Amino acid sequence: MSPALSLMIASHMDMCKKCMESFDLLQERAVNSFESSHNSFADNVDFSQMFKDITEDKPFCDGYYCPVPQSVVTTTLQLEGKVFNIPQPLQRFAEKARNQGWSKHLGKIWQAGVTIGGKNLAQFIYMEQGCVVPEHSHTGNEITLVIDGQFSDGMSSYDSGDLIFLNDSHTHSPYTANHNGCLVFSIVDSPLHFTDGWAKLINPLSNLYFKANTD
Amino acid sequence: MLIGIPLENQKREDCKPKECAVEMAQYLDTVANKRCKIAFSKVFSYFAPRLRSYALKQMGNEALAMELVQDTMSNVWQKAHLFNSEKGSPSTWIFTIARNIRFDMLRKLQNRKEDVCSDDIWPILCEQTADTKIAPLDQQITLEEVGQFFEGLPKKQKAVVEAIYIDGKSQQEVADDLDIPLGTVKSRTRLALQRLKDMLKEYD
Repeated sequence: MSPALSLMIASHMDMCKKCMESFDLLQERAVNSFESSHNSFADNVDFSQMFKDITEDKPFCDGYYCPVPQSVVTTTLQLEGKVFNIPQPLQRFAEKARNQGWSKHLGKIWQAGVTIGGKNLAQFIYMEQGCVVPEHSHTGNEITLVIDGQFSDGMSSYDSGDLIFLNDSHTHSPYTANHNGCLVFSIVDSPLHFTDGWAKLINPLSNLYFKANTD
Repeated sequence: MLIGIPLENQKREDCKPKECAVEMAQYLDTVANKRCKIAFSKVFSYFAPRLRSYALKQMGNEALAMELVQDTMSNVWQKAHLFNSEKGSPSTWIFTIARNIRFDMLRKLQNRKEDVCSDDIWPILCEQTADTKIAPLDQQITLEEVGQFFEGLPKKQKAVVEAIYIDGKSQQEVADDLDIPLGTVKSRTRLALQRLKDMLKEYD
């Protein structure tokens, strides 16, 4: 599973009790198999040097694990006087978004891109009430998590916590219509392709924009 | 100096995981409070071989597997105070540390540029960085020592402080969670911090 996908699924789980429960169950099973994984070969392995190094606090090459300091975490995002709770796995990225600020497009779409590295474009997107995103297809994969609110796109309607997977076979036009505004977090691995009328004009820009953000 | 501590590599199969959990939790507690190498050796000799088997299966490489064991057990040694038996068994805790390290190892090995680390996805060892509310205290006092004093707080105060300073909840959230008035949360927090301050003064 790619880190980007892991991030999205963990964020969804943070909002979805059912998935969290399934996860706990699976984890418990993994722990059980881990605990009973002792095989007798290991008895012949000499761990004494390792034990010594650890308890003498010898610095160990470069420890892989690096905890995220609490200071770089933002638990809520504010926009247009509204406050949104951010799922824990996205909080470090919310901090980036907050520091970087939002830009407004097409009158009703707020966007804050964040780097998550790799060949991905990640962004928080806020669609105001009555917002319509021009119809577009995807040239790659798009994963979207609804953080707060609802929107529809002609294929289905989505609510807070929903995780949406789209690929190059999907064309849609998200809108918030009667709903209040909607905050989502979305990751795409290649640019959107606008298919509708005048919006086609921004395709070349969308390409440029995509590249600029993933370098 | 610790060469004399025997590593119990042999025959612990008779110990059922459930029984072990209680025993291991006590050892972890002793490691956290006393930096006790003997207690750590018990934890180490139970888990190191298991971690190695797990890591070998996952990584398929002896050197990497041993690295995973060492990095995991180092974290157990240094962060035993973050283990909370109410949140799960020692095996679960140690397994999740190993899983996180494996995630970060793979990320590094595959030279992926993703800036997503295991702690975003599963925060296991997040340590509260020095909080401004406890800041005026002597810089020399380590987190471990504060942790020990923290253990000495009355249960109710401890729960509130933990929720706010370690889990990062707001006072209102804590009030909702514990089903107590907001005012009570505030007074418990204040009392607990005052008490910690007093304990640290005495310590000085």
